Amino acid sequence: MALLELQKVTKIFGGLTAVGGLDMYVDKGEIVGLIGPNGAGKTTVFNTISGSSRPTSGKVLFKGEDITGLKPHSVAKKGLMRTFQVTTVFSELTVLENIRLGSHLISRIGFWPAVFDTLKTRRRERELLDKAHELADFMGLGGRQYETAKNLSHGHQRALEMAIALVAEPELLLLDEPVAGMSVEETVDMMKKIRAARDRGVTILLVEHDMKLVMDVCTRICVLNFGTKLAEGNPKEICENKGVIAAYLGSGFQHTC
Amino acid sequence: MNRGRFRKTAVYVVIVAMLVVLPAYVKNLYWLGVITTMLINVLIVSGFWLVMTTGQVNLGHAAFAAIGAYISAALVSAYGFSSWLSLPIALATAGLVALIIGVITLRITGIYFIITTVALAEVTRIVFGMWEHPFGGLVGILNLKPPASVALPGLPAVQFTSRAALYYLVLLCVLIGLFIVRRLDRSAIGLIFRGIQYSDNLAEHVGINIMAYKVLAFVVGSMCAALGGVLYTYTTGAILPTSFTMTQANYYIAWAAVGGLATFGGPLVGTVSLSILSEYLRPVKEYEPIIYAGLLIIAVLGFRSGLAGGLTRLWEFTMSSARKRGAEG
Repeated sequence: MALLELQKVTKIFGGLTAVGGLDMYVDKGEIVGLIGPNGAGKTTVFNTISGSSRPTSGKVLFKGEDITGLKPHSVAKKGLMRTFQVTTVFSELTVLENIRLGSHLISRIGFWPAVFDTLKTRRRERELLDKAHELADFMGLGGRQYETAKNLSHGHQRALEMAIALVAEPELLLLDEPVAGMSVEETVDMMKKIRAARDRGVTILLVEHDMKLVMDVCTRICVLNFGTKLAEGNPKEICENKGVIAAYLGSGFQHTC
Repeated sequence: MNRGRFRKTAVYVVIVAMLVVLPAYVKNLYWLGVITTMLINVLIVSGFWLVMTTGQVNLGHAAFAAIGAYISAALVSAYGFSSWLSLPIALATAGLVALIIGVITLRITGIYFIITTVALAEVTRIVFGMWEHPFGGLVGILNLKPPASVALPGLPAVQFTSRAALYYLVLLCVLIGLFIVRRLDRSAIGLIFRGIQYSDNLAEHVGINIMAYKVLAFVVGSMCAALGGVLYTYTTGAILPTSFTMTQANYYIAWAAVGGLATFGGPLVGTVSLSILSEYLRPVKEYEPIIYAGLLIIAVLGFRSGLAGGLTRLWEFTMSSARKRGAEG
């Protein structure tokens, strides 16, 4: 059984079919890339999976369970987290507070124990703080734990976003253009982080325009064009696919696949 | 970290101790009345600020003070309830109204939520102004008796006929209310409120049910207002349709923002200092809103951390220079 399965997912905005009858799956342990020209419907697919918008028709199954149309917080609870195309962090909070908020689902602190700040609550908060430190180190934010998120560089904010998404140990992580606007070194660094996250047991589905990252990191690639699937396969197959070259990659695309 | 916490606790203990002994030193009944009103306003503004930590500005906050005050006063005057019984009933009613209104309106954000709450404030004023029985219509409810005396076993009965006794009653209620707000703010729940303020979208995607938390802040904040309203009827013996209107909510914004919105202490400092200022502005009373507006604009434009932020910086500066001097000497 696939970890994530999309069955005939369609999303229509007014007269525009952003996604039309998309079938797709992600298996456990994979790093799947979702690529395609601008406006192909990649982010719309993400939104229908994470609950930001309900698909017009079709089904989204996660671990075999129908999660179509669930609210984002309920989807997150099932073990599915995401990051956003536009960097989204809690700008006025510190790095640690950001990551601590990400651990909401694993905090297991009740309302009254939180209000009365019981010893058990304090112990649990300390554990969560340790965990936040660990995630900050993992994402290369060591030494910046007490900085306010808005003062971080773009690359670090992106890393923080991923730390927030990873701390609650999701089974599936959706990354929406994780290296957009990053320098070459930052991109290489992020590729390592994505692989390391997979090695922690997180399955990853990502949207990205940086073909070097996609071809190097992804185990399987799905190409969208005008809201429908154009091709699917491993990086080598995608590189050589005539349809994909015509629609997206361009004839000049050279990559050692 | 721990020393900072200890120091903060010490500051709170000193302030509470000063408030407890205050009536012994303030013999002027007028000033004691002013301070009592100020305490009530501190509680109401604190509730207003709590809702604000989730990113929602509630211009209808005063409406909940009105609801608390009216329910309590009507129960006492028209139905002969004891003040002690009317208090929890009024709080529960206000909490229920806040729950219903919150569930409906809190899905709206930003300026649209503010406009909706203006409507709430106006509707509340008009409803109480038109409702003759038991709310007294435009006249309101007047000549309420102070709460009945309380007899604790082994102690002389406490009468609430004197200003000082009322002051202690208000002080106790306000401290309980502030304690709850403070505890919420310092807990994981307070952090979630901030998270919703800075990005409700991200908060939702890390699994936080943002509606539930926004409603929670709204209900608790509104109940603070309602408690303030009930205490207002105890101290003034009256409630009018014009006692708690949107004008009042504008003052709450000014108090909170001038004091500083970032921390729990800000709105408290703001309310206290501007209330004292307003006493000295009595000769030019009609210009008070203009002065407040000016201060509000200054605070919002150039002094975001407010008076509380300024005081904190001054304190840190003094402490660090004292440490330096200690190290040199």
